[in-house]
Order: sequence, then structure tokens, then C-alpha cells
Amino acid sequence: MKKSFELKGTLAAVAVVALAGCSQSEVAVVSTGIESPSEVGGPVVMSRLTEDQYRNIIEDVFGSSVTLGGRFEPDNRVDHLIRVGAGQASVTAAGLEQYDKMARSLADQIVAEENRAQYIACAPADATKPDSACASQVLSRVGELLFRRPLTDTELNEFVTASATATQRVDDFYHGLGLGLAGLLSSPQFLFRHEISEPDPNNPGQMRLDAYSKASRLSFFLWNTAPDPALLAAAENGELHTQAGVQRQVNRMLNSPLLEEGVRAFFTDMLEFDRFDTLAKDATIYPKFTFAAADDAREQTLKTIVDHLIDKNGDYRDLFTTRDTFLTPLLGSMYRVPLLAPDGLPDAWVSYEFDQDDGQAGILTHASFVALHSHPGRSSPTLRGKALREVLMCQIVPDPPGDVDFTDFEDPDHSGPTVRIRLTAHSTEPMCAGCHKITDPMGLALENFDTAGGYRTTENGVPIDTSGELDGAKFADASGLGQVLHDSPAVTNCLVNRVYAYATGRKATKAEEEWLRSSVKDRFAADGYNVPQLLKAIATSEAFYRVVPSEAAMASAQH
Amino acid sequence: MKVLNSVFSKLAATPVRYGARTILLAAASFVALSADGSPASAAETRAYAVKWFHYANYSQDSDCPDGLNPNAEGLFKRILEERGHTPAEIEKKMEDFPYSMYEAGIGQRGEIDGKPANPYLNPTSTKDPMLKLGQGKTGYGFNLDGKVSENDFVDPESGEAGVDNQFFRVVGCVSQLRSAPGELPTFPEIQWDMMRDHTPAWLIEFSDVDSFENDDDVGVRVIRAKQPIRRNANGLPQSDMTYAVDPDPRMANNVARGKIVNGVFTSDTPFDFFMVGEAFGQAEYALREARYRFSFNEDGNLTGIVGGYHKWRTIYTSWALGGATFEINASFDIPGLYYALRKAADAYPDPETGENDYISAAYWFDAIPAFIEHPAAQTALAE
Repeated sequence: MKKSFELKGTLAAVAVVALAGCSQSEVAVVSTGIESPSEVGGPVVMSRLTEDQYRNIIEDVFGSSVTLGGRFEPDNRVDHLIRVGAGQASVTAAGLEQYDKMARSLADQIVAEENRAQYIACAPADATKPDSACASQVLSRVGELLFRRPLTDTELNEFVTASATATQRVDDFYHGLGLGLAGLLSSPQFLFRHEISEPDPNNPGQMRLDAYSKASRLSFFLWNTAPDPALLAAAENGELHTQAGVQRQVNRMLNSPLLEEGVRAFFTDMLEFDRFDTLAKDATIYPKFTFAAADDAREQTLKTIVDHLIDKNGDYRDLFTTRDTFLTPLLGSMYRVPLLAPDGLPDAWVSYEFDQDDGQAGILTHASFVALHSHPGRSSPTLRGKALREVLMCQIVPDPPGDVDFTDFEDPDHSGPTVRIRLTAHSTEPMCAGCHKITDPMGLALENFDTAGGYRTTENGVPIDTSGELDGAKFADASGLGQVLHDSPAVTNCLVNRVYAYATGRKATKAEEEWLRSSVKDRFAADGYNVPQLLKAIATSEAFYRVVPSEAAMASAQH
Repeated sequence: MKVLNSVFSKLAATPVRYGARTILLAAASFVALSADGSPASAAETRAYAVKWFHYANYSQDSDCPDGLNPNAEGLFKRILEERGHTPAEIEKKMEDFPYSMYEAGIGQRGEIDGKPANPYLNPTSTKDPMLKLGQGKTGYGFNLDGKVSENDFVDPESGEAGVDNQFFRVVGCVSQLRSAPGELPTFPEIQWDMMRDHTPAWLIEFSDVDSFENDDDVGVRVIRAKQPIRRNANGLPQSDMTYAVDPDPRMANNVARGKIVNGVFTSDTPFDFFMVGEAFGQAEYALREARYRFSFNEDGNLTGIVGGYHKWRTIYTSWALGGATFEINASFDIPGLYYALRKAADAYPDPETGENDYISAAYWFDAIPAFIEHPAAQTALAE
């Protein structure tokens, strides 16, 4: 559910507040703000907007009827998160061309004669001449929403002057205004999130994010978009520099329907769902895995997550054991369960509960996971096990050595009827065993699912053995593996780390890691592994806004 | 299989499989797919969606000792010869084939009272080109009249003699309509493929099955769905989709009972078969004294035939409506097929003319596993 801030401004704050009241589940106001020592914090980050963030902001500011025409720079994954990679991304020359193209296209739509009444609250005295009052009004309002802070006088003057110059050249105020808008949309102040630090008067000697940087960090964390007018107002009036003010805004944001967008964005990043853009399966063997089916598979998991974590305020760990999910008829076909959508809605989503003995429990058994971490033509216990370790448990699986010998594994004469037999080489070859023993046993538990997510009990006529062990905990099948993950502290600790890295846009510092490992993890457990409460605990902690310069920055400052 | 077993057991107890939060169709029940051809442990129902439906041909090279019937090029040359064109003129016209064929007005080549006539709607306004009929002795179908005659076939699967499938003889030497075993006849394949994105799917449902290997009394029906098939990544119908049954009573009677022997179902008592097709293909499929034979294949799919007597003019109309476009692009002599059908028709003589109005025929099914959802009123098959 998206909202539009409406450039005409005055209605925006009212609309947002009204929306904040109609949430799908109220997040209770509980005591928040996990304490942290003064060294817990990290450097500011400058992050390039991701494609989703760009689109969300444009829709927020200009509504859903505008269209974007252009390509985005590819996002970059660092430390398993695109959000962190955004902090290390720049813009290429070709990328800037595309941003410019999109900016001009958007601006043209905004100032088009048929749209002016919707977007532009004032009118020039003479449409053939510059009108600095009207241009200032429009550009300052749009600029504040796009830059996530008020424009400085210098900035506003630059854009207004540029608009006036263009107007004089073509005797058209709206054309000039359009170029001013395009300038805002091409500006690094829009395309990058700049975090600004300032001395913290409440804690002499320490630094904090300035109010608008706090607003941005909060908004991109919880809603994956720029601050709305209410949050910008809270930044302006100093509310975000008070614990009560932060709590009030965080509660409002957590109770907004936009929380769903934020949660989706986080899990899309954490679960690496951007890889669906290039996911394909061998159609000869797996003809059911169409692009539409892949889209549905991705959405199935996201809907399940939102339903469980937000709508039901469920325990995060239960995502690995729940049989409740949502399916479309296409997914019903993939999972081989009968499922019919209402007449006239052939692709409608239907809530569904798998049976106890279906073997389908938890998001590990969703097509999204098993298909994403497989080869195009066959399953891969190694890829799945690696994903489990790295994506869900934040553990490191080393890359294979450059001189690994695949001969035995790829020799068809050595092939066994099941992948477990074929992977014996992994566990017996000394060069391979060290890493594969930490991936393959977990991945083999998912072998009831082929590379496209279909359930099977045999491979080449031989029953599939899905038993295994994870760090000493035995399991018989995928459901058992899900229960082991449910009970594993590594899984919940990993979520805490990922959420914090996502929220800050960077890897945690050592001090932050220690704080996360103790205080935050304990709070998460005490809150019943409730994710909205985790988000609140982080978003209302001083550490989240505390700026501790990096060692490199300190060294540089001293020079 | 885990899905089937759980659904089956649910069917025995409660009609709706999934939880209360899902869409609920009061007393709706699902017919579940059985897994791998293994015998069911109790009376079971299994459903399929039809992937292909076409003439049940068994064309072999020896079927046409005098060669195949002319294709569109040959037809055009013949027409030009009949019109008195010289070989040089014909060669010139062929340089611009097929456009020259349209320009030549073949769509008005008939003649009634000295005036040009549409040969497709008035096929007897043209001369009988004496199309060659298939001469083979092997062909799919059933012994519909209980006799073994000179013109009959032996079914290659059942070994039954006296098989009546005169329609196969009519198309047997037409290149775009004939097909070897396991192949699809070219033009019917195109027709079926073009229509299935918008035409409701056809479904086949077996019920009361104790064993898919051997069972003395099993029910089957062919029905139509409300939805068309969905295509998979290869452009073919996707298996394991769920369909709702079209309640149109015209297609509620394709019901039969029969036996399964060694994995092959054969129906007992003849019945009247009727399915709505599509105007681009064949608008209706209406077989009198119809029978079924279906095989449950190892890959989980179903293949088989339905045979009976079809009103030959209905079949002819499906070609005639395509006119010159069909004749040129599908490459067969449409009025010629009228004459061939009329001569080959072998049942239900018109009381006035004495000419047979029906022709024995057989059609091939190729079907994939599916689920059927139908309201409670339709769960029982008509006896």
C-alpha cells in the first residue's frame, strides 16, 4: 500500500497520520531503547539509492501515475547485503546518463499541461517569463522531499536561477521549471543518502547523526523510502533528538501499512531474492518453472513472512517450521496440490496450510529457497547448505580452492543414482571434505525438493535419504532441519546482525557486534523473537544514531 | 505420494482439503492426482487435462501406394490446367505462388448454372478430383458394427479386427492431415494449439478405481473445464493444474464404465459423445455409439482414443469454413475431401437419399495429470 505525499503539501501530513492509524496490527508501545556504552556506534555512511528506494520515493512524491523510463545501475552485494553494498557504490557515466534521462522524463510529466494542476500549487504571473516566487515554492517543496532535508538557500537559489535561465531561453516558465526539477532529480543529494554528523550536546565529546540524517536512517530502515512530511517535521522541530520523540515516530512507523514494504525490502535483501531476476531452470526438465512461477515463488515467501511476522506478530523462528503459506494456482501445480482461485482471478493468492505429512514446513521448503540455491538442471545440496550457513546463520563458507579437482565428481562412471552417493567424493577427498562437511549434510536434507521446488521421494528410482546432522543436532528430513534451525541460536543471532547492518548500511563495528551479541540478542529473545519489536529496539536505541568515526577517519582527521 | 495420500484420506473424511482461511467452496471436493501409477489402496479418482486431441492416425508409408494427394501447389496446377492454361503460363503463375493462387480466384472456382460459385460451401459445384484414400490395414479405433469387412482395420494396440475408421482412410493420403504413430498431424496440431489458450480445457476423470492395473468396474468421463490450460515454459500445457468443471449439460454425458486390464481401460457400453470444440478447429465433436480406450502410462500421462460414428458433414464444415485460406495454407483440396467423406461414410443412411450421413472415426487423446474441483452435485458419475 503506497501513499503519495502530494506536492501541494498541506494535506500530506494529515494523510500520513491518518494512514498511520489504519495498520494491520498494532505494535504495542513497550519500553524500548536498549542501552549501550558510548563506544557502540559507527561511522556515517553515504549510500546510493537502490532501485526500489528510488521508485518508492518517486511514487511517494509524485504518485503512481508517473512512469520511469530508464535503466538503473546494478546493485552490489557486500557482506551479504545490497544495503551495505550501496554504501560502497558510485555512479558510472552510463549510469548518470540514465538517471538524467529518468529525471528529464519525470520532469516533463510533472510540468505537462494536463498534469500541472495536480503537481504545481502555484501559477506564474506570466507563463512566458521567469517567476521566482512560484519556482521557489515548487522547487523548495519538492527538493525537501527528494533530498530528505530542506534545501539550503544557496541550493534553492541555484535551482531557481537555473530554471529562470532556461525560461528566458524558450519563453516558457514550465519548461524552465521542468529543468529545475530535473536538476533536483539528477543531484547527488537525491541519488545518494548523505548522513551528516554533529556534536551531541547531550553527550559532550560524542557525535550523533543530525536530525534529518536520523529521519532518513529511520525511514529507509522501516519503510525503505524517504521520510514522509511528518517525519521531516519531527526532524525540523527537534523531536528526533529526544527519546520520547524517537519512540513516538518509531511507533507511528511500525503501525503504518508501510512497515510491510520495509520488512519485504529487508527480507528480499537478506534472502538474496534479487537473484530471481536472473534465475532460470532447464525448461526441458522443469517446464513448470516459468518466469511467472518464479515470481510467484518469490512472492509466496515474502507473503508468508509478512503474514507471520507482522500480521500475526509471530516468532521469527517459526518461519522455519510453519506450514501456513500462500499459493497461487501456478504454485499449486508446482507443489502438486489442488488449488483453484476464484472465478475471474486466475492468478489470485489463496492462503494455504500444508498437511502434516506433506513434508512442506518452513521457508526452507519453499520453492524460493530450494530453486534459488540450485543449478538450472539439478538440485545442489552444496549450494543449499552454503546458503543456509551464510544467509541464515551468518557463517562463512570458504570458496573452493582454485586447483580443486572435479574429475571424480563429474565422471559419469562414478555417478550414483542419488546425489548423496555422488557427493561421497566431497566427503572423502581431503581437499573437499573440510568445507563440504559443513554444507552438504544440511543441503541433503532438502533433497526431497528438486531444483524447481517440486517434491520427490526417489531419485533415479532410489529412495532419497534426507537424514543429517547440524552441529550435533540430528534430523530426519527437511521438517527436522527446520526444527533444528528454529532451535539454533546462530539463526536468531544472525537475524539481529543482518537487521542492524541493513539499518545502518554498513558492517557492525566490533563494539556494536559485542552489543548486538549480548544486549540486543537478549532483548530479541525476551520479546519472543518478535521482529517488529526487534526493529523498534534497534530504532529507539542511542547506538543507532551515535556516530563513532572509523579509525581511518580518525587518522585522516589527525592529519 | 504424500499429496495424494493426504488428500485422499481427507476426501474420505471431509471434503475440503485446506484450511478455513482459504477460499471455501461449500462441499467442494478435489479429485487428486495419484502419484506414479501404483495401484490405489481404495476406490480412487484420478484426473487429467487433455494436452492434444486429434485424429487417431496410424499412417504408414505403404498406406498410399499411388502417392499422396496433391498439396496446394498441385491443386493450383490442376485448377490452372482445367482452366486451359499452357504449361508456360502455369510455370509463370507458380513463380508467385501462393499469392497467385489467391489472385486466381480459387475461392470462386465452382460453377452453378454457369456462374462462379463458392466451392467450399457448394462442393458439388466442382468436379470430384477423386482423392486417393488410405489403403492401409492397420488403424486405431473400434469394431463399431460388429463385423469384419474388407475396408476395416486391425487396431495396432488392441489387435481388434474389424476396426471401423473410414475417416482415417479419407485423411490417410493428405499430407497435412495424416500422421505416423506418435506424431501429431500437422494441421490439426496447429488448430488445437491455437485454440487452447482461450478455449476451456478438456478433462478426463476416472473414478471408482481400485487398481490402475486391473479393475473390473471403473468409471470415466470426458468433461470441459471453465478455464483454459496454462502453458509451461515449453509452451505445452502445464500438468497438475486445478480446474473447475463447466456445468454445461451438453458435455455432461460423455460417461462410460469399463474395465482396466494390464493398465488399459476399455469402455463396455457404447454411448453418445459430445464436446464443444472451436470454430477454427472443429466446432463440435459428436460421436454416436462411442467407445473409449485409455492407457495409464509410466510417465504419469494418459493416452487413448475415442471412436464412434461422426456426422461427416460436420467434419467437412470445419474445413469448408476455412475456405481458400485453409486450402492454400493447410494444403488440401477441400471440395475433394467432401467427395471423399461422402463416399467413405459408412453408417446411418439418410432415409430419403440412402446415402450414409455418418462416418466411422477415432480421435486421439494425450493428457497430463490434473486436479479437478467440482461442486458436490457433480461428484457422482452418471451410471
